[in-house]
Amino acid sequence: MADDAAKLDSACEALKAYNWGADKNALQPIEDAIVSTSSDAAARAALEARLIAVLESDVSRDAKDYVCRALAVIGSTASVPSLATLLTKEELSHMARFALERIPSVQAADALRAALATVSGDLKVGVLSSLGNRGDAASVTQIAAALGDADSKVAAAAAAALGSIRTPEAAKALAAAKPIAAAMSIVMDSRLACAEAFLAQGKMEDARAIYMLLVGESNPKLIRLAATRGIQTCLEQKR
Amino acid sequence: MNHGTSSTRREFLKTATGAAVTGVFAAPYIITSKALGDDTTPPASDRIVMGGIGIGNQGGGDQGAFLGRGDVQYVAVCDVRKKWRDGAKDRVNGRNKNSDCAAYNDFRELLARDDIDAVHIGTPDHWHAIMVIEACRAGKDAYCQKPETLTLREGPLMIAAARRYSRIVSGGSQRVREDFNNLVGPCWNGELGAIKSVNVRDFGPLSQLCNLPAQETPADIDWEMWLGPAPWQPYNSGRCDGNFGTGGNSWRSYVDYSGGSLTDWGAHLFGGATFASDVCELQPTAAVFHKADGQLGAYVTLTYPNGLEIHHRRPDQLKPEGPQIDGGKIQIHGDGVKRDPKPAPGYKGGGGIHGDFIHCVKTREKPFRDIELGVNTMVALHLLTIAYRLQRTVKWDAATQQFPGDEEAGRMVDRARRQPWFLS
Amino acid sequence: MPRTEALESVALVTKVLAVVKRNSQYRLNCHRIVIALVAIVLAIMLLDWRLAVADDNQQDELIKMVADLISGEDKDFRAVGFESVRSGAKSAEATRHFAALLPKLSPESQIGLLSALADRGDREARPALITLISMTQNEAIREAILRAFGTLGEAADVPVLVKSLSASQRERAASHISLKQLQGTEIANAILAVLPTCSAELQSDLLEILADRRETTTMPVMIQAAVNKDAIVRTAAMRALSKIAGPEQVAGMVCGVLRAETGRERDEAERAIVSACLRNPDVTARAAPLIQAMQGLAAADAAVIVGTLGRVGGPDSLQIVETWIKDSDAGKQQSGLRALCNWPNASIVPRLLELFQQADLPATRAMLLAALIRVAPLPDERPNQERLALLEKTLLLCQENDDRNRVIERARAIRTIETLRFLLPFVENPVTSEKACGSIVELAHHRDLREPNKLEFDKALDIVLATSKNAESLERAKRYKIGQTWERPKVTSKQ
Repeated sequence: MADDAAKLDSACEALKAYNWGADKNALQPIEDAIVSTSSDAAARAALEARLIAVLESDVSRDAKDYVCRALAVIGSTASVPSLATLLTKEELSHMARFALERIPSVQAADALRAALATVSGDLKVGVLSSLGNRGDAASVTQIAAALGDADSKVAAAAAAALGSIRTPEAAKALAAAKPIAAAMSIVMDSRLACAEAFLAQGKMEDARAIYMLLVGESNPKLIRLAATRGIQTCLEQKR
Repeated sequence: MNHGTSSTRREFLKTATGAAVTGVFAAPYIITSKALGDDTTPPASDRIVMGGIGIGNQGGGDQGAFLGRGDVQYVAVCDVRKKWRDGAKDRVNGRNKNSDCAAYNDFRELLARDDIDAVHIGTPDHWHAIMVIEACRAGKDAYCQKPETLTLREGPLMIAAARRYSRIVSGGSQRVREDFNNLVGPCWNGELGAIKSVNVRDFGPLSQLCNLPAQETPADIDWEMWLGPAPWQPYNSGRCDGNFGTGGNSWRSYVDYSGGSLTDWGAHLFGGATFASDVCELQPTAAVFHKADGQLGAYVTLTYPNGLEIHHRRPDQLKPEGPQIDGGKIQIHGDGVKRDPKPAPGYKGGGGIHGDFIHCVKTREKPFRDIELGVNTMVALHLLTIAYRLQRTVKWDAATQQFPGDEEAGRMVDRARRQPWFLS
Repeated sequence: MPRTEALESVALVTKVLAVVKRNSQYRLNCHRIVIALVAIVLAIMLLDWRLAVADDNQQDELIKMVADLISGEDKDFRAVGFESVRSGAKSAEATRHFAALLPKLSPESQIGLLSALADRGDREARPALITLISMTQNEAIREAILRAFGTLGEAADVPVLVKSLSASQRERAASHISLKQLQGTEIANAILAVLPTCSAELQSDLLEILADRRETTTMPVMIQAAVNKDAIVRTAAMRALSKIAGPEQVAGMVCGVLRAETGRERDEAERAIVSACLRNPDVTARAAPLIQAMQGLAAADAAVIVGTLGRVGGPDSLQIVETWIKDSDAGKQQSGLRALCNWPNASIVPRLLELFQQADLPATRAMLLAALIRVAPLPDERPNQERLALLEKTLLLCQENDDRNRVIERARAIRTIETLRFLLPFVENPVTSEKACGSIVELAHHRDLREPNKLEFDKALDIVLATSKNAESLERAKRYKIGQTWERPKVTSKQ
């Protein structure tokens, strides 16, 4: 065990100097520790603390990339503040989300939601997608606010996130959306996804209500096709 | 509701004129003999218009298969590497004896074309899910190389997109139907009795983190698009070159783009194993990890809802007694109590798995390797991967697509994608 | 709540009411309770009835919607309708309704609906198939109907399917599949009933179909057919038996071997008997039925069957074969040697080598050498090095270039890097070059061998590219060098 501790120390030191081209085998003791601390909460928390310390220090992008990957596996609420500060950074936002998306704590969702007000463009797309991937129902209102964004990528990401969350509130927000034309198809796709969620929950009438709105002649053929199929599926379900 | 109208350009033109019109609607129009078709080639209006995305090694093979068909009109290629793109375009033009093939760097431009009915996708694995889903949303049918998914979350979304838009989506393992006939026969004809266990012999390795040094990015690759949703890392030829190598000299070695040989060869071998033992339509309920024990190496057992066990690299010393077939990479044990035969599914239409896809594009039947079946195989492989990485047993709930009560394994269901790419 | 139970509840409540009437002390409150209970029961009955009506309405709406979709002009919307035909609206009434649409649809829609009804698998659709096939000469529609019989048909449909085996290629293919797929205990008898009236080619098809259906009760008919005057029927019968026969059929199959003409037919017939013998789970008894069948045979016939015995192998077979080899009659000796050369595994190698050294006649030496080349690399429990060493030893016995080339070709069965190194020198010799190149690319085909030894294989493939004149070897070498796959040309079962 003392040997393992020494190897871990050595690996953490190597991590501080880690960069592309460095020998990743030097970090193997960290990988081993991630596995071995699976049922040792204290040891895992200690490992997490060491990784957070590296993340907060002046190390290379690659080193921070590595830490974020590790925190995706073992990160907890303790990691959230450090990761949250990276969400606004062009080079590190994605890897911060790599971890935050996987950390199940409410604080991780809160951090992502808070970042919506501080990022724009592609970074905002990323944060919206991570909230969607988390299925974060508490974010529906804030996400819905982005449906009308002038940036079509942001509007589309907001629609997609609501389609991933699929709550009745998300469905309502999508129904009320008036996005720019470039985002309309993803809005409709997300509405169909909400209808499918209703079907899966046995809420035939709610599902059918969405389909009936999308089956009209004014909609593109593909949407009408999907809505038709949806209505048929509603009729196939036993009450 | 009026189903007689159709908003696609081709179908509108076909309805309006009753003739096969493939160009801009202008008079006078000379109808070429090629457009009319002949004994071996259907008229242009009956051909499936196709494009290819990702035309490297395997994608090139798929292109060749589709290009060689008289009932396919191949019109466009897309690749982020100029040499692959130009080579693919030249092959199409050479076959068509013209210079009409369009070449794109961005797959979205290819998918935006109204005239394209179907696409084949041969990119590295990290792109598969996004491209299949976008293809479905664009109204295209899709043939997607295996491994169909990189994460567990991708599969249900791909299936949902295919079903939502009534698209034909086929996975791409031809070996499932073609390489294991010596196993499929005795299993499906009942000679072996009820299948009790399957062993898939060792293959691997798992993919690993890539930490290759930065190199100057060549002019002929769009590195941002190559990476797409994968984490940003600097260009290195060892990251993106090669195709099948898993020893560190190609993208298939690396975790950001692939599951390694475990999912690459696994898609074939587990595809074949689950087909022969008739559990293609099921997902495992658990991946049971057996630690190394003396001379016996570690191995994993996938358990299925019908009681079947599929092992990965079960030691020979643990081989059960009783009737078995040994197909080399795959061994199958049965109880020997003869059962009534069941006809094994096969390809529809001629021309292997590619012909099966084209047949189903025309008839709208589900293809032999329907995306749901490809995804089920990938679920088995991802469970294997997670069990090996965590070095313990994991349990899976196919209905909820989750690891019940297992937060640690649950974190491995998916990974955040690099903006501006997202999966939904 | 089912209506009968609700009625019983009402009856019970009425009885309670009668009791209350007789007891005035509780009359007022109990009246109210009873009235409330009756109201509840009636409400439940009403709800149940309304739900049932709603279900029926829903079903009707679904059937109408599906009918509208599949009758429409748009292929994509029709496909949505067909999806429901396949797996929705689960009632016999719905099936009949859908099937009744067939005559009114366009040909393309008919084909789609037939496929969907076949997948649905409800035989309520069968009458519509029978009507339609009598009305149409459209090949594509007939093909779809014949294909649908596979899941929807019965024994009574066998004659139609058999007749269609002589129709167009598409109808033939569809009928073939459906005859294999038909479910029911009477199908085999229905096929046997038409068998005698069929041409030799059709009998061949039907025998194959019976075997693929695993109709083991028809084996006596197959054994009879194995001695038919027509070689097509005989061959088909023995092929069919090779798929399903076991030890009990061996005696009958011997007649098939003896009736077969020398050459390819005899060869196939012998392999069929081997398949039957190998189905015996008792490894030690696999040769027994064949040995027993030999006992009553005339000398000439026994000489044929001893060759088959060699293909089965095993200690009991070896005893008999050795007796023949040591016989004073030269003819019996040759038959015994031929049997030994048919041996199925490498356990016979020491004896083959011994006999090779002793053999005087060039023809005998050639036969023994060919056997050595065949068995040396056969996959079994021997380590790869041992198999390769034996092949190398066999090479030293070769005096003809044809034999050397056979050794080089057989080497590809031993997938090791050492085999690659064994093959490389032969590329330099013009006489063996092409065969060596072919074996090298065959080894390279296997990624699990090629990739861990990439450097060596790349060099070897460069040599192939510089040397070979064979288009396939060159194409394969090019592809393997850049990590591409290569698909083998398909071999049909009848080749």
